[in-house]
Amino acid sequence: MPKGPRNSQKMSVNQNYFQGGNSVSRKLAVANSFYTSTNLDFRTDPSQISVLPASRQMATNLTDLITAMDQDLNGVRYGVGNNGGLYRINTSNAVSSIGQLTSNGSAALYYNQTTDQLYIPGQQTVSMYGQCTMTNSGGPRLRLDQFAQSASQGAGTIFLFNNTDGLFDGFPRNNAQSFITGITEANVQQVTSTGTSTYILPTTIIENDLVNKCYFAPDIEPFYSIQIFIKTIGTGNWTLTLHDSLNNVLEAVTITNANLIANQFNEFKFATSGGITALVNASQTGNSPTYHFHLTSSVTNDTATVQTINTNDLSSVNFLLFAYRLVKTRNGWHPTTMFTGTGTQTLCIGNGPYLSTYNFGNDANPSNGQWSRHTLTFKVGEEVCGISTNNQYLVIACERRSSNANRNYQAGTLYFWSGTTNQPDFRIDVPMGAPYGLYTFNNVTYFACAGSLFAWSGGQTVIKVRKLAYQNTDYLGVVDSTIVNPNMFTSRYNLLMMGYPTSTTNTSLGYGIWSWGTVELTFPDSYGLSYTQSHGLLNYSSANQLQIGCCVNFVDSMYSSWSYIDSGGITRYGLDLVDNSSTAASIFNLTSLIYDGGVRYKTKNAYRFKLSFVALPTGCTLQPLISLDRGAFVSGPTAPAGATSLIYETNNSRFHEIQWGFQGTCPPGLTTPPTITGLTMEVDPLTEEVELRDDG
Amino acid sequence: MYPSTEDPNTDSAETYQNMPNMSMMFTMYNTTFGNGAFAIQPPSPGEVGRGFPTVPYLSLAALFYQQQASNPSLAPVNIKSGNNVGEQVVQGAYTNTDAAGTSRVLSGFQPGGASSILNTANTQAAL
Repeated sequence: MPKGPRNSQKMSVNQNYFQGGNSVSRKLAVANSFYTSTNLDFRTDPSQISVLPASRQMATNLTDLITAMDQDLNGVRYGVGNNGGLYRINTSNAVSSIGQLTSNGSAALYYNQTTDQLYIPGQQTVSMYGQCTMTNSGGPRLRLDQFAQSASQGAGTIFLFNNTDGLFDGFPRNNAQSFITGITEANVQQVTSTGTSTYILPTTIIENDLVNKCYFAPDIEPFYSIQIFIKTIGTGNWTLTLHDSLNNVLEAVTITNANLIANQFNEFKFATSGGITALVNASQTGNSPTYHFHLTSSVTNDTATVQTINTNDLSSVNFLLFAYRLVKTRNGWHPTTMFTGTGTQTLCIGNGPYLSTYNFGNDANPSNGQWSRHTLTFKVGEEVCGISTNNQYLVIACERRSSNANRNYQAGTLYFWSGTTNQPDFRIDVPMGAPYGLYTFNNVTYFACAGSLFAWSGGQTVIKVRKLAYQNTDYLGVVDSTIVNPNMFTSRYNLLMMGYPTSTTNTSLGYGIWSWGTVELTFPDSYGLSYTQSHGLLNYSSANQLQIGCCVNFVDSMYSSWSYIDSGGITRYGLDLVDNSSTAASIFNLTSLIYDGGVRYKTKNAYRFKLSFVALPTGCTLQPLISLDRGAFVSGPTAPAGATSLIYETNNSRFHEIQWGFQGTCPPGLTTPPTITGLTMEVDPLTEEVELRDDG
Repeated sequence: MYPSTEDPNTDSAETYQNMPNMSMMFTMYNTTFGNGAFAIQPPSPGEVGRGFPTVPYLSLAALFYQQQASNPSLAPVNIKSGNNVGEQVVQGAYTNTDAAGTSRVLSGFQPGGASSILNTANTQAAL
């Protein structure tokens, strides 16, 4: 007698445990999984499913997309937006604008409880706001660009090149190194020359000697300006031309004669956007790849002179190299956190291809030792896209961004720094793509990369945990450009919450706050779309330009920001909140795995589907969903209020594959949401029918 | 190990799939070669199954334990030395002498000296 799939009677395919969560596969998963869910709680008690609280919009007065948040000692919360808006969220969750940065925000905000100040990195400066909890003396003050451009005090710019030992340890050109504070444009004139000689400006650049150029080895970048101590202004317009070692012109800056002032520093400010990027720490001698500048006058035989140490030797000119506080990054971010591995409380700021550190040594005007722009140097082209701590390490995620959105890099790196070395302790390459949303939870550092969730917890490898979304544009005909902001991951009630994605060109990605974790050790970690945002949009389109800015949880309150363009073409910004005053989500749904009985080839028959639930609250709807052979879901009528079950007759639906589920709604203000306890499908295996025949 | 789907008491609500994790934790999984114990249950139904097929659950935490045991991360080099931009200055400060007062070890930049073991190009004075 031939063997084959045989059953003697109808049977029920039942699911009334749900600890498996959302599956990657439509059919294969750990036990008690389902394919999708929206706004459902399947963890609190995995033997049932209820509806999670809704994200509700709490602010309509935002003018940009909040990308970072923090809280002061009194519980007041703050947010900074992508366009530089600064917001205060009081303890009643009223949102007010408290200022505007001079540049876009950089997804960074840190509150120091001791100084009672917010430290707010912009694009190339860092502003402060505080004292946050002080109510007297006019209240907190916004100090815009408190940490801005300042001058190098390094040997490579201050000391003359010493031909004897090949180092920049010759005579100092000024007393900049005696300053215990930073040298800024405000105090630059206090820097005094050490030389008494002069150099007369020629009218043309002279390269073939060493006395008509001033070479230096920068220790900070990007260059903001070069300030020259002018002795005599002469009659011509002055031009400073900055060259690299190959004499490529990096920029030439001209100041008209009328705007020059004798016997003081005059600033030649570079116009290049973001400043002149340069190699630091690489230029060791005057003959190695270094930088130099020339000074020329527009007037022949001009009397224009600068202060020098050696007569007619521009290389000994009294100058100061100014650099921006922060590198202007392509990704627009300066992720920021606190780290104490250095032995002191240290503000760590992702500074493009560097890690910048500040020991809070002088909020008024820190020296370059107190505020180090380039404490760590990463690979050229890398930019910090996330920062976190794990054990004794500061974990720094770097990505590479091209200037072409359609031709981005596929590269990333995780750097680990103990704070006790002058280079990262070790690194892990992430060639899969940019490691976004870096966040440490349970001492496991998670990040999103190329549509998947990865984790690292001390080993040599990063572990791919699971797919987050179908970040794969095969057959879509569009270039994927999916970005996740630095502050999109957070933890809420011991679960990892992931705002995903921030922005994308992929219309297949589902937007929302996704969760990962388990309610207890016995149950598996599971995944699901826990919170959709108040606008109700779930996918990007070229019309809506949907974005999530950040997702930050404070104990019982989880904030998530968003922006989109409405049907009228108006950009809307909002901040959602889930807290203990939230009511049930207005919509919810679940779809099961596809059932084929393990014999896809054989025809089966579905008789009826039963949903079991706790008495349905008044005002709620709950409908069954059925899909045959991967067709569109068909919904049945809703259960009435008070009912505890619902039968949906499938009308002898023959199938090879079948999928079921439910969808429902909750009325506003509901705090006792529906609770589903079981999904059961009655199936006839059709044992007497021919097993193999055409699907049609 | 796995109940047969011929058992009328079996359906997809069973949680036995957690069990294989015990063995995989120690032997069957690594991040290079993946899950060596991967299996789909029921493996050979021989009938129309009454539930969904399942795969063994692999705990991330268990994997971390295994990974940390077999591939511990490197301990940091707990030394901060050498050229360190804008932060550290070593200038003739370290001299060890023996009991007779004779210098035995001398390191660091020597002011006025013709050479130095340090590259001082990017060092600066104490701030």
